[in-house]
Amino acid sequence: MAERELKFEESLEKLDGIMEDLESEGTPLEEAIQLYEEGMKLVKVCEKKLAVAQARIEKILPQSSDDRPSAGPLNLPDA
Amino acid sequence: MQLEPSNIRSYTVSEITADIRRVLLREFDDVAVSGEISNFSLYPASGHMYFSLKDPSASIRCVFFRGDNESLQFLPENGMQVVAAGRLDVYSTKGEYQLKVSRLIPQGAGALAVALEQLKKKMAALGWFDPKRKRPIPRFPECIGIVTSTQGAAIKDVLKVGLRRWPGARLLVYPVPVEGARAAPQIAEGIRRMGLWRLCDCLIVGRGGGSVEDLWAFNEEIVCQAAVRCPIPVISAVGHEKDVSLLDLVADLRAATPSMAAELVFPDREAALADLSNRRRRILRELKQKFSLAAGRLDAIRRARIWKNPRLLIESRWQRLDDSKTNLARDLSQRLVRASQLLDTRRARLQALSPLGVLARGYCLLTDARGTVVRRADQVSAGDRLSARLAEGRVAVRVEPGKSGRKDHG
Repeated sequence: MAERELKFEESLEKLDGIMEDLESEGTPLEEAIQLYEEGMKLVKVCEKKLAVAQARIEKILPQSSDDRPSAGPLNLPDA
Repeated sequence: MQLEPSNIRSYTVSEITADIRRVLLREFDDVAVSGEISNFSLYPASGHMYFSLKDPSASIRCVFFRGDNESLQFLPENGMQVVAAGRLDVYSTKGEYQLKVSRLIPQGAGALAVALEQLKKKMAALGWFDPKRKRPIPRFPECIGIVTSTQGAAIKDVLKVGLRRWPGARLLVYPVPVEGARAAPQIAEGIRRMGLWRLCDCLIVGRGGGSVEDLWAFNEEIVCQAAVRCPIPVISAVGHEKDVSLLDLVADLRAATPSMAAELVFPDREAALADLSNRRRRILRELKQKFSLAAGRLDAIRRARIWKNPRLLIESRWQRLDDSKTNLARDLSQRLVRASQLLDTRRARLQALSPLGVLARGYCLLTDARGTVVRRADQVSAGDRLSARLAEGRVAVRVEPGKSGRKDHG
């Protein structure tokens, strides 16, 4: 089963957990290396998410009904 | 004076009244009239309200029927400045025109303050301001909803600040009018639907600065109720810093201005990046520490003297074995000495108690051939061989026939 992609917040939480395990005296070295690799992978995923610079801005269109909202581009009047 | 029928239309009272009514209904179907309340009366039996609206030079009769005034959140008072929205109608019986009010919105600092106080009390009693109700705003929302006007400054401020902080943000705007008599119902509907659709993780509701009247929609019960019922956390962003609306008190988070709302809701990309690299450094540092700790222990083991001089391993064991042997011998001899001491004391005690002591005084112990001790003469017969135990040694004796023996026995 493919793993669900973690949300940014969840990734940070997981990183916290990894760090806690790494800091723990009882973590064997072999496990620490695995934790480190997993942590670095998570950091990369998060960084990639932050690199996305394209904002997506939409507005709800007037014809939206309760069961079927529709959205379209938002055009702001020039000040 | 003679009238000229060709120039003048004639009516009955009812006819002209009906015509006037038609004109008024057509021309003044949907109006909002501002003025000061006077002659206010509320008929408890019917629940209808009657009053006049006046300004310095005119006045108009108003009727606010129960079905419409039930949703009113404050009690009108004489002298209150209000905007009455509704339509003009004619009260035929009296030949009066009057405003049939559908919504009443307080105006002016005094009236607004009274209405605000009344509303605030009501919402407080409903528990809407309870801090326990407040939900946390997600730290990294996937999509941020905004209920506001697309014409105003608020949306621009939010976009400017928000996209500077989080350039990859997703935003969904629900356009609404933010002032006037129609603002409140539409804002409330916007909040309700954004919550219903769940297209965003949190919802900013607000507008830019304006007069107290302009901001009034954000005090209205329908708007606050929609925020209370909204399944998504609501952030209020109304007016300037000094303006506090009832929505601010009800919302999960109050932002002083729309720009501030963007500061609070949009995560800061730079800070997130810094935080990430911090974590990366920490993870690396932890791993390095683990390695150096393990390496240090290995080093200490490697440096131990035993590796350079393995003979020590054997020699020390020989020494220990020798020591053990010596100790064992010493222990054993001590045990023997002690054992013989114990034996000596017991022997002495035993001798003191021994019946053989009596023999030493010259007595002897006679036993027959079966070993039975001879206590009476009739135990033996002539010719029996007995054994006499003396203090030292034994002698064998034979019974001689004699008078004390048992002659009839044998």
